[in-house]
Amino acid sequence: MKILVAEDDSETAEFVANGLRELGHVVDVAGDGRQAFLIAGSEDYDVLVLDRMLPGMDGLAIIRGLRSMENTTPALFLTALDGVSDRVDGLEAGGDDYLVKPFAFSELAARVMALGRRPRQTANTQTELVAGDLKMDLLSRQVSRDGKLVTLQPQEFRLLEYLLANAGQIVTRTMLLEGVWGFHFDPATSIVETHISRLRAKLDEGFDRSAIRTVRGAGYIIDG
Amino acid sequence: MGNAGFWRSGAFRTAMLSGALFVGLTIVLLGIVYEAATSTIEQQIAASTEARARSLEQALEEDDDAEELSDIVPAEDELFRYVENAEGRVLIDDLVPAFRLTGTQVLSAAEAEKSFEDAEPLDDSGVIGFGVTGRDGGYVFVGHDDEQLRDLREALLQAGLVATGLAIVLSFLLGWWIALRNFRRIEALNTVAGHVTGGDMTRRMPISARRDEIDLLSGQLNRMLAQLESVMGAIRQVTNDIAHDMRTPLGRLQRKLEQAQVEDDPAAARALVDGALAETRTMLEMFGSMLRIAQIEGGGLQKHFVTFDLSQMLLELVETYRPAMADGGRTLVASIRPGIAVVGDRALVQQLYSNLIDNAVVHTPPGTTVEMSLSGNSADWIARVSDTGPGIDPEHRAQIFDRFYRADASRTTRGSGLGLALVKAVAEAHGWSIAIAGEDGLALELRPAR
Repeated sequence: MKILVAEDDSETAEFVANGLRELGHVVDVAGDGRQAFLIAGSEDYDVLVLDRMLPGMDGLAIIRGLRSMENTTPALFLTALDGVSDRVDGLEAGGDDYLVKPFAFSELAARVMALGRRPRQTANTQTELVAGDLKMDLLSRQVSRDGKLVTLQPQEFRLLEYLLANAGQIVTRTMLLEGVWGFHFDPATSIVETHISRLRAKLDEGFDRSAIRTVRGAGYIIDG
Repeated sequence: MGNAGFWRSGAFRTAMLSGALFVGLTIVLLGIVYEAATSTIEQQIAASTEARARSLEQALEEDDDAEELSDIVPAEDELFRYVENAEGRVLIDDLVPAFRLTGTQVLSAAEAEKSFEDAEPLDDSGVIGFGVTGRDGGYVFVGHDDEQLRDLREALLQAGLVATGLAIVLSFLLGWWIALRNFRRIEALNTVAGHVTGGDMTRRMPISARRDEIDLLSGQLNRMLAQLESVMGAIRQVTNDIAHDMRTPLGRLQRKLEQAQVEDDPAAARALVDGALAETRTMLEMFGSMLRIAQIEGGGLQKHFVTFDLSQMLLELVETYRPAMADGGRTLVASIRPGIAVVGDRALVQQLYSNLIDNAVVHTPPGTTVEMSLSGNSADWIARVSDTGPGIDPEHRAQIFDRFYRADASRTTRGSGLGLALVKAVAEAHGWSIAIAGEDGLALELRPAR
């Protein structure tokens, strides 16, 4: 993927850019807002990683500008602002995801991958999610593994739906908390782990290989 | 009291300026009175001498007998007559003009000296008089010495000097007194402000019974100081809490990193680094919670308020938590009346109830039953999270909503000690009250405040 990282702190920018390059992506770095806006508007990127507070032009202004030019490149905001309204402001301006500094690189990488794979126009016509031997029918809300029906609770269904929509990519615990339960905080109770293990138990019954793989220190993945 | 400060104070300057103005006005007023009084007397004397001179002149035309003329205007003290007939014979000569003075004459002592042949009878007075030449060539002059006027002038001048002196002294004293009074009150405010700046936030501005503008200002300043004191107190509290509560995880982090540095077994070193990362996550979580509480307490959340179905949210939460709690040996039961809607910040309300459940999970032993209930209607509802755990000592009940408060002082239980502080902040931002209820275990009740 081709990724633009706009971040004025050079250490953070290098850390992010090098990490993404190691994963095999092409990364450009912009140190100020105007430069980032010009590059993002003239070249075709798969994902934009924007700091919210950039010199010259802030992240919100860049995204508003790009969106008004009908540029729909997915954008991830990086920010030190974790206010109640900051997230809302970022998403309302046209951002697609939001990550609070300091962050773990694995978290950033997972989110960038998820954004890059997201279809530009959300395909509402898609009625089926398939990954390997797993199949989910979004209309009849039926899940099967290798043709065998699996009965899921509503929250287990949503969890699997999220994992399948991001099949082949690592999904972090925080992404699941936000995407499945709408939690923008980390509860003391191990909600994610328990739901994953319940879901796993149901999906893996009668199979040797686990449908959901745990990636140590990073998250979960359903191989596509 | 700094004297230099007083002499330079605005109050003193104003008092002195108004004093000077008062003295100036007094002088002008006295001058006007002086002028008016003396000119009135002067005119009266002049008019009376003119009337006498004219009657003498008329009589002279008919008859130039000195005795008859003297009967018409008899001799008087301080009255000087001079009559000369057409032939130049002098008939009455109380005072002899050196030359013919005609019309109204106001002569000072020095002028009088020159205007009369022998000014001896005048005794160094001036003269006010009237001279007239008759149609047949006779001449009459009637004068009156101005002693009366001089006395009046002297009296007026004396009174004026005394009045001006008094005005100067009084206005200075009054101004000084008013200025000093004001200066002292401002000084008192200044002293208090100095103490506050010096760190004594408990000091308050004095308020007198006068209820004047300084008192109104003091009252306002006191309200501001009270607000500042509580804010400063909160900041100090938070700073202490941070210093105290961040040290523990930081210490553990340091220890783990140091151990990892010298650990030869890669697997063990990796486990130590994982542990260190977990500690940093804990600390970041604490920082996040503190910032969030501060932001919620700062207000301004209302712009994100929406109406949503609280019953639905709580049912979802119960489904979310039930498996994890079951794994931990606890039972989560729900009794939720459907269709209760509230206005609020969805994400924060969700965190509020999650924290309440988390709190019940963290502080109770396995085997505990936690119940979440919602009753009432959208206008007046009661949400309740209760558990059958050990509960909380009555003496600690008031503190459980404090930041970093944890019932066990050793702080070995999980959690940052910020969960319930956040619950309280969110509840207050929504205008809801939270109270501790229940005899067995702990029950927290949330409802719209009345």
